[in-house]
Amino acid sequence: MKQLPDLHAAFPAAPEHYTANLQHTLDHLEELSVKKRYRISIVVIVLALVLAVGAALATTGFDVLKSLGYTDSQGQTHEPEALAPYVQTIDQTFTGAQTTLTLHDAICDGKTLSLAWTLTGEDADYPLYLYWKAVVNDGQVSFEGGHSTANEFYWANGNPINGSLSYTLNPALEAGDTARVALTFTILKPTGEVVVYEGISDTATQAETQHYMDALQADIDAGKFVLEAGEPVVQTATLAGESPADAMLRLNIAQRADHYEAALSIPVTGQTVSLLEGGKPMTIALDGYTITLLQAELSPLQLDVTAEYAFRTEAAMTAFWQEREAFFYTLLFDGTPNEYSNSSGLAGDPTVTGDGRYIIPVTYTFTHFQTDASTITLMPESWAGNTATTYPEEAFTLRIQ
Amino acid sequence: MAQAARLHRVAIGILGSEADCEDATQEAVVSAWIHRKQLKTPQFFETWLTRILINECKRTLRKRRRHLPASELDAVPAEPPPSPALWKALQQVDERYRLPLTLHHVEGYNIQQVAGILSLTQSTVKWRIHQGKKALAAALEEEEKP
Repeated sequence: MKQLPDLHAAFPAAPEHYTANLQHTLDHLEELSVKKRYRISIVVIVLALVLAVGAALATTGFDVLKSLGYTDSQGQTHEPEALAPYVQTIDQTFTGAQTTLTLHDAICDGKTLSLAWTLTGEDADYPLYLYWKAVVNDGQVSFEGGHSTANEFYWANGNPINGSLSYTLNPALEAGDTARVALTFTILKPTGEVVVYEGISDTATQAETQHYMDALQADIDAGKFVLEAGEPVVQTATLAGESPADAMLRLNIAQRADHYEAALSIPVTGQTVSLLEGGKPMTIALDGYTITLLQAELSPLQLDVTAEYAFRTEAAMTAFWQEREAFFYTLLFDGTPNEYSNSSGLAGDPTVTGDGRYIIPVTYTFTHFQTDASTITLMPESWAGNTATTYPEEAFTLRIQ
Repeated sequence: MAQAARLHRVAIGILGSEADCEDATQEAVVSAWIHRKQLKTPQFFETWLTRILINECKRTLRKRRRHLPASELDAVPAEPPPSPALWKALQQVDERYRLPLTLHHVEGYNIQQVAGILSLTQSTVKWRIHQGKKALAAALEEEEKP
């Protein structure tokens, strides 16, 4: 079992100047709050656009397998080569006034759509905003990039920007289906001259603060695009159904640099198979509770698992939940833990169902793994204090067909 | 001050730089003062202030990334901790997992409090603490290799 040391030893003591500065702050709260209120009144919303998971600066040769890869503890990168048969080449390039967008390739296994792209912009001294939207099968599924999670700008410095889209399709597509994707990329650039402010020192006098604020407001009023300490100072709010890019265009804060539309047909490749024998749920009966594995579906890009812990009484359910500091599944391939698979999911909160059952639902998705193993084991794990504990009696082992 | 040590640990755990810690703490305290009327339940002041401080630290991190070359991004505290190896290992843990881990196991907040500070469900907090411990254990193993 793994043991962790006392984490308090990781932290240095607060130095005297930190405590002194904190005391100074408390002694001058009114004065300091006046300066801060002025800054808050100007900065309303930070609007920017999110590039997809895996966005990075790189040179050439980017593709969907690279976007789905991982780096191990030795710094070696690994690509999921087993997914190569499922890759669909797109290889479409769009050239606009100031940027070039290349859509490389994609994988769609019916449950997930992953697509890799590269954007290059001219060498300029202004930031680019990238916003995309994808509508699948005439609106059956749609997703957008940059929606309300904002905060990245990409300076058009001539270096390529690699990115990827990876989204869950809900409802899922079946084998033999095709994901018809209407994809739009909107690239914006600031409307006015870009001006960068570094922020104001907290030791600035009242007069210096006033001067700084006046200059900043004057630039905003003159229609310049102001960045303060790296973040845009814009007064805007999105209307209902409006994207951040739409808001910036509506308010004339930014203008379109380029806009691309692509109509893609990406067939579903690979198959989704149930790892439950005969498709039937599996049950483990233990003292005081029963565990049922309701779903275990394996597709090229992921393993989806749904299970349920059921208890005879509410007291038993509550006691179990409190005793387990955590509740997670890890994967074993032929009994060996897999270090690099990603997992997302959770044990839900204890629930009393409408028909009076006491259950803890568990939903997990595992991605980014390749295996030649014959079996997958879902091993529950928890931490008791600093010690990791597994529960083999609660584990389900499934044969990979 | 009783709160100073706790605020310092939260800030240094995110920022790593003493100078940034002082700035972020001051901003957080002033912000809490400005918005003090929003706090309806005074007994939640400590967790409320912690949340403000965490948000301020994250703002500082975003500003720092825009202005510093990559080689200067890995700041270390000026004052050495009792276990520098443990500090180094902890910094390798993704912040999404490191923060709930330290709030629970260093600052002593229970799961419900950590969930409130980070605006997460309790289940998500438990999962992130679990992932944080796994990552820390792996990082410590690497540190111990000759």
